Amino acid sequence: MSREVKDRTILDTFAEDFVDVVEKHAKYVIVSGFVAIAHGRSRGTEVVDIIIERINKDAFIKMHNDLLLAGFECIQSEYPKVIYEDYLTEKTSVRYVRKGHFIPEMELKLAKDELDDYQIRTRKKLPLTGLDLYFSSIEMNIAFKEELLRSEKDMEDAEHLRIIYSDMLDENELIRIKAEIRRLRLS
Amino acid sequence: MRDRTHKEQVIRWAEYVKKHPRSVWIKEVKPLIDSQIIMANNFYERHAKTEGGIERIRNLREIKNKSSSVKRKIMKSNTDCADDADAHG
Repeated sequence: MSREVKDRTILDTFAEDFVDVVEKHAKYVIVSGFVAIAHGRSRGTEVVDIIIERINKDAFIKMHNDLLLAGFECIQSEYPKVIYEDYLTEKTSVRYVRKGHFIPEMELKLAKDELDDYQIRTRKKLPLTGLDLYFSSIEMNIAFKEELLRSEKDMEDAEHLRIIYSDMLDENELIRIKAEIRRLRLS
Repeated sequence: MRDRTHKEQVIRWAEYVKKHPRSVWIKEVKPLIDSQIIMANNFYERHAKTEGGIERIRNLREIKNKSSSVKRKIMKSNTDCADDADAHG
């Protein structure tokens, strides 16, 4: 997928620049609202959500230092050991921004259960977005929004994706993922 | 709750996106996405130059992080599971 700057939004270049660093250190997947926005959903956001595979502290410190070199900073702490031990291993996300900027921000967390592992395992590049990024599957995004998140904004994101992929959705996969969400996140 | 014409517009726009290549719809979406970010960052830059501005921005950031954390706690109490308010993870 070629990258043409002129048709990139600020969110697109922010996400691509960030994963250029992350992918050297860990498998990642972009999830949630930015997936819908990258498919043309007309709403704003200041957050791109990313889940990375569970990496150890040393690997995280290397990744964090590379992110600093690439011009990003973590809002929660400048110390990677603190970020890893006080946030990520406690299943709390951390936020990176371009140094000196307030938004947009990348909300980063470690995979925490089978569902996150599955999201990373089944990640996809989605040609309709025109972006060279790995996203969680469309079925996964719709399932989370309809089954767990359920705000008005999330339901509209899901509706948007359902229309865009109306002839390609795997409804059996959707049902299966929703069952896993109920088992792992809602019981 | 927004009224039904809002939902109709969401559907109308999604159908437009489905029928047109990215090179067409991105021209309409890009200004919306970019302007939100540019305007917010311009505001913070201006505000940082005012007396006490940096401190107020720091407080705003803390409020934002707390708000996110509260959302997670609510989700946790509802679902006995932390950390799902904003993202799938």
